[in-house]
Amino acid sequence: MSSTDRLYCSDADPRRALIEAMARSCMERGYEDTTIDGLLAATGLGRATFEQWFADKEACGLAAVDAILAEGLAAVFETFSGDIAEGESVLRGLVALVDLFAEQPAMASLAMIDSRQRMPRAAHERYASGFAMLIAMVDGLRTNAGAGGEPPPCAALAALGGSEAIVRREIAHGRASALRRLLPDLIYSALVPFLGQREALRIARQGQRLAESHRFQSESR
Amino acid sequence: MDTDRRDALLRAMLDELAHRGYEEMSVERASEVAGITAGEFAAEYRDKDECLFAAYDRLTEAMVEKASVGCDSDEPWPERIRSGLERLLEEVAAQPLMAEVLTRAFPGIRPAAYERYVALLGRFVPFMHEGRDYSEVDEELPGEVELLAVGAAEAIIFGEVDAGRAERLPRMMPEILFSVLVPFMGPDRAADEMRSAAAAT
Amino acid sequence: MLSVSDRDRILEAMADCCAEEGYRATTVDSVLERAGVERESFEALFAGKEDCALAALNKILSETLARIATIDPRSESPNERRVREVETILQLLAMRASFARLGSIEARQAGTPRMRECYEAAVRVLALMMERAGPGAPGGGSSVTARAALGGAEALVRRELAIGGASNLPKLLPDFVYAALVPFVGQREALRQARLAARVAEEG
Repeated sequence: MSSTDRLYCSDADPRRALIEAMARSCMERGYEDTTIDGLLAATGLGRATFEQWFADKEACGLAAVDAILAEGLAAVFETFSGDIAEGESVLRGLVALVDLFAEQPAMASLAMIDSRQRMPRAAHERYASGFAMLIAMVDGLRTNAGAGGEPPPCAALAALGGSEAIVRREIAHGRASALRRLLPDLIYSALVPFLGQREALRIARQGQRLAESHRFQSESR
Repeated sequence: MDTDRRDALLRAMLDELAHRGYEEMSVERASEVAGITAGEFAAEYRDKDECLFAAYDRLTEAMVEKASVGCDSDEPWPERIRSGLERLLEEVAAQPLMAEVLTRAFPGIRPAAYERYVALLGRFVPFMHEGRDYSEVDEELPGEVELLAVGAAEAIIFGEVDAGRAERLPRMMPEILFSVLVPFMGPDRAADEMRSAAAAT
Repeated sequence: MLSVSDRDRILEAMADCCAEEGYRATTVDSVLERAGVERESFEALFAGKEDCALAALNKILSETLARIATIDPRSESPNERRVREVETILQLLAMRASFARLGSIEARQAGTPRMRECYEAAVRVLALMMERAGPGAPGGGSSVTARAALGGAEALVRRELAIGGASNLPKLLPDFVYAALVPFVGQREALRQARLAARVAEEG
C-alpha cells in the first residue's frame, strides 16, 4: 500500500478517521484554512460524531499531534533495548521511526511542521514534550557509553536537534517516503558522541545497507 | 458552628481553592461568603490547612455516600456496581469544579494531602470484594485486584475531568464498567455486562 | 565545561525534594542545597524549577519506557518476556522511589500543566505499546481498555509510593501481570502468568 492510499475506515474508527483527515487537510491547505466541515466532507461523518470526540478544531488537531507522537515514541521504544553498546538497536529504533513517517506522511508533517508554525501554541508544546522524551532516552545511553570521556550534557539534544532539522526539511519537501536514505547520517550523528567515530561509522554502514535494500525493494515493485 | 453553616464554610473554602489555588486562596473571603466570623473560624480550626483538610474529608464522604446508595439492595453485585458507577459519574459530571478540586487542586498541596486522595480510592475497595465470588476460575485471584478495578475507573474519570470533559462521563459508563468488572469476571462476561448496560441507557 | 554528574545530582535532588515536600513547596534553593551545587551550575543547565522538574521527569519516563522492548529475538516466549519486563520496571521504580513518585504522582496531580502533559504523553505511549503487544479485547474500545488496565496498575503504584514506600513493589508483580493481561487473554491465562510471575518475584 503506498503512503497515500491509507483508507480512513470511517465506520470502524471515526476518531482515527477524523484525525487523519485533519492531518491530510493541514498538508493540503494548512491548519488555518482547515474547517470542521471540510473534515466531515472528507470522512463522510456527521457533526454529531465529530462533537462526540472533539470540542473544536483545535482539540482535533491536538489529538492528531498526540497520536503521531505516541506512535513515534512507541515505535522507538519498542525496538530500542536501552543498551547503547547495542548501537544496532538504536539503528532499529531509527528505522522504525522513519518508516512510520514514510507510511504516514501527513501525520509526520502535522507533528513536525504544522505544530510549530501554524497550529495553536499547545500543539508545539506537545511536540516538544515528546521530543524531550526522545532526548532523555538518547541521553540515558551515556551511562553505557564507555567511549572514553563523557559527552557534555547537551550532546543528545545537539545530535537529535540536528537530525530533526534534516528530517523536517525532507518532510517539508514531500520526501517523507525517502527518509531511509538519511539513515547513515542520522544514526552517525546520534551515536558518535557516545560510541566514538569508529563504532558510529560501522553502524552507519549498516544503515546504508538498510537504506539501499529498501530502495531496491520499492524499485522492483 | 452548626452543621449547615460549617458545610457552607467548607464548601466556600473548596471554591476558593478551585478558583484561586492554594497560595492565593483566602480564609477571610471564604468565611465572608459563608457568613462566618473570624472568631468562629478560629474556634473551630487552627488554620487554613486544617479547615481545608476537613473540607476535603466532607466532600469525599458525600461522594462515597452518593455512590453507595443501594449497595445493600438485593440486586446481584455486577448490577450494584453498575448503579454505583452510574451515580458516581453523574455526580462528577454535575460538579466538574469539585471534581477538579478532588483530583488535583487538593491532592497537589503536599504529600499529606495526597495521602487523602489515595485513601479516597481505598474507600471504594470494599465495594469490590464481592466480585471475587463471580470469578470464572476456582483459583484465588491476586490480592490487589480490588484496587486494580478501582484504579481502572479512576484513570478514565480523571482523564475526562482533567481535559474539561466531565460531562462525557455518564455516556462512557458501559466502557468503564467493562474495565471495572473484567478482573473479576473475565473479558467475555464483562463484555456481556457492558452490552446490557449500553442497551439499558 | 559542565559536568554530567552535576546535572545528575541536581535531577536527583529535585526528585528527592519533590518526594519529601511536593513539587509546589520545593524551591530551587532547597534543590541546590541538597545537590551541593552552585546556583551558576544550575542556571547553566536549567531555566528554572519547572524546567529542572521536566528534565527529571523525562529521565524517569524514558527509562521506564525503554525497559519495554517487544522485539528481541533472543528472549523467551512473549508472555515470559512481558513478565520480566514488568519485573524490571517494578525494580526500577523501587530503586528510584523519588523519581517514580515524581513521574506517577507529582507530574500527574501536583505539578504544572507541562509536567502533566509530559506524564500523559508517556502514558499514551505505554498504553499504545500494551495494546499492540496483545490481541484486542472483546469489550470496550480497545484504547479505553488498555488505558483503564494501565490505570489499575498506576493506582497500585501510587498507593505504594504514597503510603507504603516503593520497596514492596516488586513483590506485587503477580498483581501487575494479572491486571495487564486479564482484559485481553481472560482470567485463566492471566492467572497462569501471574503464578509464573509469583515464582519470578520470589526468586528476585
